[in-house]
Amino acid sequence: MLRMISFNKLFWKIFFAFWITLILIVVLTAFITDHIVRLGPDSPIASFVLGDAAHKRWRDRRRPPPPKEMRMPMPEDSAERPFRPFKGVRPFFKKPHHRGPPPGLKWLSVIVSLVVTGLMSYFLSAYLVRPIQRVRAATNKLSSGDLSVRVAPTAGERKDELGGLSKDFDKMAARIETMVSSQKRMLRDVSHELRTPLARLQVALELARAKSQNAAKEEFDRIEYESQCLNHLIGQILELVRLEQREWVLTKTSVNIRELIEHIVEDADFEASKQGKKVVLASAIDCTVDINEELIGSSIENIVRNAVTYTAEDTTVEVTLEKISDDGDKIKISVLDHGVGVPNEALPHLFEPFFKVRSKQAKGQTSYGIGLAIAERAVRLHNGDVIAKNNKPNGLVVTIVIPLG
Amino acid sequence: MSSILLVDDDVEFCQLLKEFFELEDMEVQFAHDGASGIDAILAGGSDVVVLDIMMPPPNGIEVLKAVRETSTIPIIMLTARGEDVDRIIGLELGADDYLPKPCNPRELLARIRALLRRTQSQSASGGAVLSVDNITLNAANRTINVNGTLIELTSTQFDVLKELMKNAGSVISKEQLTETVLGRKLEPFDRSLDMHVSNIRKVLFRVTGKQYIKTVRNVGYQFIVGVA
Repeated sequence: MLRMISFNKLFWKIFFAFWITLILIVVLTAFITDHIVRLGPDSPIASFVLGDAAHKRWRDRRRPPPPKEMRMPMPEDSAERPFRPFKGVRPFFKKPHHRGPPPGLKWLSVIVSLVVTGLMSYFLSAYLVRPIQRVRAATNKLSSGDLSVRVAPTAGERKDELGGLSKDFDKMAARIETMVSSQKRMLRDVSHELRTPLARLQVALELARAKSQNAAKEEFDRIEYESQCLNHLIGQILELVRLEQREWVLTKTSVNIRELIEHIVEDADFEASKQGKKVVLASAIDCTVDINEELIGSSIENIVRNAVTYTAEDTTVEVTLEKISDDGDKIKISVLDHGVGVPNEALPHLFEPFFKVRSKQAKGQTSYGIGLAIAERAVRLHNGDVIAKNNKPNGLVVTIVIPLG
Repeated sequence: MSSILLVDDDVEFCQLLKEFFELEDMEVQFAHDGASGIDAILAGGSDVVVLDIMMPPPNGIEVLKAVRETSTIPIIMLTARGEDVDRIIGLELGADDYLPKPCNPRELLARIRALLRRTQSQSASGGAVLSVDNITLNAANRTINVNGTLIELTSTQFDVLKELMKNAGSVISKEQLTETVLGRKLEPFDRSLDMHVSNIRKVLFRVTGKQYIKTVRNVGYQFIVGVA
């Protein structure tokens, strides 16, 4: 039982509240009883507390008073009396000598009552707190994205409100799981289905080109371009849905990360040159990492491509690769652009799909699409991290950190 | 006139493609489910097969598996974009090339033509017999003879092996191999060539118990002369 609960605040609150209450009950009862006994059956309180019948029995049972000379001398003078902190109140357990138990037994009864009440409080608080802790742990897991978490398997059969809470939690989690997964399934199915007409559209377009001898070339090219965008977007949505599946199994190979980045930079530089921009690998180390080459490759590509889009004309996107070692060896890939950057308050949302930034400098809205979201999910699958920061004096720097192992 | 067999469950897509290919002077036949696809492929008469992976069972992968047991007909598969598993399994099972669907029909046409050119021109040109160690490759009838045993390779695997044996002893880069054999540029993360080479290795190893093709890391492949 000890290792099953952690002694958190709630545990101690319940424990002490219950324990102190029990101790107070024991102590006060002892004190009041003691007081009444000391006052004797003739006091008006005795008849008030005990009721008439019991009071009468007590008076009748009373032994005849002992002979005068055997009585304890009762000091009349207040100066000779023992010290009493409260007038008319005797120390709690100090019953009159002729009735009380031997003095040692009194301390024993104090210890026994402390231990018994302590144990009871312990079990009670454990009994109350444990299920709450289980639900709490499950809630944490749920909020971090594990929708398959359930409390019932660890909670056992409890029929009370706390058992009900566990069951309600499970019901809620199951419902959320169904809702989210059905939504994802729908997104996936819709995306798949969109491809069927898109595939037909592309063939029909080529037929139109051929039959009209490409009479409206510009318009045909535009239709082709737009349908490619649509296709690309559908592909990205499917990729994101796939990456968010929990049962993903990564197939990793040993990859020379420097070469991978060199290839990406080369390709990106070629495309950027059409817009008067550049991409360079500013510095790099030689290093091999165990990764899924395709996933990490497309992550870096997405981030570099994003940087090329937002960097200002006639500027250069700089990519660096270095090794860092804070708790274990990691590689750090940074992509720096010279654009207007992103408002600080928007930075944490940059990796949400289709996040839009409103900025004064860029005049209007900028959509970051879905590429960064995919990149982030892919890096997370490698237990890595993606961080976006504004660079001084201008631009955005996106950093990927991946453990070497 | 070349004959294409389309195995795809989308009837309208097939019809549009048929019209498109007919403009390019190609004959097109259909099969709209896996089972009739297998029958149509094995019945022969087509020069190249375009096989959609995403079909109700038996899907394209199962069709490919069934067909490759006996046939080496050139097959291009259409995969869903992003479904790498399909692509890798498909190439492993001996598909000659792949294209993500939806694809540009001009791109599909170019791939089909490249594949046909390889298979047809070589059988027409005839004569060329390559022999390295105990492996003899006959480009005329597209057969490979290892220690007197005939082995079966798909047309793309055959071409990869031919290219490697032509340059036996020296290293050929992946870029060069992809361009000469698959007729396209090597793209990032493109593992097609690696899959073809791995398939050839498996077949040769099964017959000879030796590894003839060496991977030269970050460069390409090399056919080794005089394997121990």
